[in-house]
Amino acid sequence: MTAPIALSTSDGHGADPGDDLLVLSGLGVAFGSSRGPIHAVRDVSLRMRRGEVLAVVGESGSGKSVTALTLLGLTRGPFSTITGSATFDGIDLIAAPDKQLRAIRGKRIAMVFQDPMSSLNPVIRIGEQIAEQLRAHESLSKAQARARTIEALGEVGIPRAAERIDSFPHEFSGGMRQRVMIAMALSCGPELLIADEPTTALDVTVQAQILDLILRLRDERGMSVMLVTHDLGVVAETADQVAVMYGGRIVEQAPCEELFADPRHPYAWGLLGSIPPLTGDRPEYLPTIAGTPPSPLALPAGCPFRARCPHEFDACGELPLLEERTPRHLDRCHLSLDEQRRRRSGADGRIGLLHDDAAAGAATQEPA
Amino acid sequence: MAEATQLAGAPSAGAPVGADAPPDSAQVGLWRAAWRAIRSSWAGRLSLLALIVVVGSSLAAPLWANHVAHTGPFSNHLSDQIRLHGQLTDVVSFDGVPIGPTFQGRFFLGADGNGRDIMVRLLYGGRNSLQISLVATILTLGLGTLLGLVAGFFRGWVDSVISRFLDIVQSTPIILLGIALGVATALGGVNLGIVKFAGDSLMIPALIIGFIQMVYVARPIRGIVLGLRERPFVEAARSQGATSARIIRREILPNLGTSLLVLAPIIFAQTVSYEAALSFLGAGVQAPNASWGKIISEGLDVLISAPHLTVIPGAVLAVTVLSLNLLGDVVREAIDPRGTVLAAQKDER
Amino acid sequence: MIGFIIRRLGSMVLVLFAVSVLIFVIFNVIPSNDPAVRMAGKNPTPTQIEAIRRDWGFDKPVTTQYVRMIEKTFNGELISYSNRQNVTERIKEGLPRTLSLTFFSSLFMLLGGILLGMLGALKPNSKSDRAVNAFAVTGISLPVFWTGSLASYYLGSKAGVIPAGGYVEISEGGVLQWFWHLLAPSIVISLLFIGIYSRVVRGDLLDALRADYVRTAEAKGLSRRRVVVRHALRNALIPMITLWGLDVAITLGGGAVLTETVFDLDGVGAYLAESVQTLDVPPVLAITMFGAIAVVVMNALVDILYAYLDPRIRL
Repeated sequence: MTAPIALSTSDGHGADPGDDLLVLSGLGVAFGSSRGPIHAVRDVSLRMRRGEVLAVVGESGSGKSVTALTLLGLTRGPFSTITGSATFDGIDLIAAPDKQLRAIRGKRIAMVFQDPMSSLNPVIRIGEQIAEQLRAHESLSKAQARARTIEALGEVGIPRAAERIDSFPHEFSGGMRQRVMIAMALSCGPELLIADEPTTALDVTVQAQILDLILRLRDERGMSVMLVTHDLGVVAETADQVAVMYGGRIVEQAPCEELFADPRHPYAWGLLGSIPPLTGDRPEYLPTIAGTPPSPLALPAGCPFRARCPHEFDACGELPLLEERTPRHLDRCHLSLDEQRRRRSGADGRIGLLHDDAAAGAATQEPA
Repeated sequence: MAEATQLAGAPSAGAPVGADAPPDSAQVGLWRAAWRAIRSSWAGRLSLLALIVVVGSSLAAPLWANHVAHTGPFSNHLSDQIRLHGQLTDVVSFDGVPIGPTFQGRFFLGADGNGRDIMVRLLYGGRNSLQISLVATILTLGLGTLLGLVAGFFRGWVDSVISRFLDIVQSTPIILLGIALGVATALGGVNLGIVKFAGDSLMIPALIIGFIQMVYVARPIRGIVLGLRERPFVEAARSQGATSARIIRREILPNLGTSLLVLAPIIFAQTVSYEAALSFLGAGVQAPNASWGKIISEGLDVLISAPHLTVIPGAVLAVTVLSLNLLGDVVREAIDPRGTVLAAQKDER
Repeated sequence: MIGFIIRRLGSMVLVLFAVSVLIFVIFNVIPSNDPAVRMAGKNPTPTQIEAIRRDWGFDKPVTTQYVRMIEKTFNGELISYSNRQNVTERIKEGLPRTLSLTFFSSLFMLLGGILLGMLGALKPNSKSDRAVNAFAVTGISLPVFWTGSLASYYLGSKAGVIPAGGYVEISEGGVLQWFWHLLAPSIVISLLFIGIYSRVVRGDLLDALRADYVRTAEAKGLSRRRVVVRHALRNALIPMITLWGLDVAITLGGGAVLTETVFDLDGVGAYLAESVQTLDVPPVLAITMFGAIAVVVMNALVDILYAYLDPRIRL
């Protein structure tokens, strides 16, 4: 199950390893169920540098949210098995005892969740919800915590924070609630912010505001952000680095511009191909990726994307390694770089998951 | 288990919606799932066995009375003597102490203060308790379903009227309501227009208990119907021009099976408890009729000299209620594992 | 919040009226025999019956009868025709006893229900969870009057471990004796409610522990204890508190009729039981009325408390 992977990324980053804030290595999460173990996350390895925005992209069920939750120990439990390591500033978050992890949660690593309505306690005033986090990590008096809370609410753009502090979550709009969540997450000045689909539950106009807010705060504080999302539009606007997950594994990782310009994994082609172009003729049909994500109960042997990939061939029966084939750009595919380049764009030059006969000049080519 | 989950969660949503697709298959599956759950757990098997014994022996009361004990439930034997270990013994001694268990045909469990055969009274009392409870349970389920269905389906002012009525009934503590009705009707009986019941009729406690528990069925059913009427298969039927009566009959009623099957054993258990409590107090079954509660209350008067008069009927009562509740739990876990039915009851507050 | 309270109290008055009509219907409309005869108790003389008929207005229109009933129930001069006792006086005498019993039993049911419910929810499907469940079914199923009388006789009269029944006022025997005599009856009543509450709390707490806001609380780095108590339990207890408020009102309003009888506490419930034995209508009518009032008022208070605990419904 744990296929060896090429862990040469630190050289590839070309940076001093001391710059790494978070290093995941062979992270696996499996949940017990009545129908056998569910391998939600398999063998995930990646690095995140200080001040970087890393986007983790994938469909629902790809393991991206579970990866994020696991970093905070929120998937720990009698029915889960967690393997591998996740080193945050020298501390292994996987092996750390509960007590140590609690001291890190909310203080050094904070999290913003998808649905701000259900993620805030409906019966506790929002000010108290923020203040209790402050007081759990810093020795503050009630008055001090209150002052800091007002400050935190003001910083995320909540008008008249001193008045709104005693409101209940249901008295806010969705966007304002997410601002409260962000204020809460940032109240203790974390080094890493994990945002799990922070804009999915919000109106489109509000989405942009929330993203801008996160980016502005990142710039002001120099913190790192792990952005878990399925929305490539969000990724394009915000991320420095992108990791694409499929079937519980990372299938491609690259700097943001490079991923959009030179996607290597057919799944990434499919994702990019499904974004409508902003200029030029609108295609009649927006291409989709045929089929459904594999059930984590019954992952196919070999490449997880095999069953949906039109470019599948004999070698795909074996799981490809996650390899760094050009500096800082890793992918998990048996196709050669040339093949990939040839097969990913159609006659109009647009990238997409095309069938073999449609791929320009690829009809007779055998992969090297 | 997986199959049962599916049944409870989406009774006929997956089935074809056309008017000619009766969701009968779901009902069959429901009973089968309940039966399978009862059979496969020791709690289910044990309580089923206990209930069969209790019900069977109560049904056999006349057999025991006529062929073994040779006496009826109301016959006094104050001045009689029976042969015990070769000696003639008074059924009730001069100082009023009745005979204890003889473990032979006559006075198997001894006599009460009036020299009546306890075993015979217990069997007949059980028959009365079970009869009353059965009628009351059917009444509760029927009335409750009717009110809940009408309120939930038609909504609007009909719902308001029914819901306020249920509020008011529920505002009187249920045991006090039962007592008040029992006392008010014990002497004069009830005149329902079409039928009249005399004060000592067994139908009176059945009617009372059937009425006071109605709220516990009407509220969850209303909640479930409110949910059902928004479901796509009901909307589809409505868009095809089906009448309300047809929608209720074809789409709503069949989908109440889970709820009723979950509620029935619990309501039955509560009914047996209320019957016993009311009769114990004197507001249920009226003398000379027996029922478990009545026998226990009679037994308490002679608890010191004849504790078995209290202990045995109470134990039978406790075992019956416990078995029904256990059975209810087993069935609920099998066909409604997410507790939708009981949640609907709670949300109505 | 103040608007909510006013509206809720307003609807309470309406329900009180409706409940009094229901009770009137039960006693004066449903039964098919002469209400004056029923009221008179066992073996009345024709003159007595005639006096009752005039006094209660049974020869007048229904509305007059209703008004008379309300007047008689609340003017403190209601008497039992069976034994000439003043009903209101007897209820007042029994109230401190019933109040004391209600105090301890409501405390036991609340604590027992929460503790057992937590025990079940914090380790679902464990041995302790199953034990709690078995205890709950048993508590729900055992007939109170049976367990009560057996406990009072075998543990009380025979073994002498607990008092055999009866009530001791604080002024007579001190707080300890007072408590000691109420202990067994309070436990017997509580068993049933602990059974019900522990299941409610277990279910609601399990739901709350799976809720998103509990995950947020965990992510904030709060202690496990704070997450469970302040975030999960607080939300999970709201439905249970509603049930509890009503059950307290019922116990207070004479609902502990069985327990009070078998433990010889001679409170409001025992007076009710005594009156049922002789089919003595006036006390039954008055206690039903007061019990219903207790429940309706408590219902309003619980709703107001509910609105305070859960701000979402303060609309």
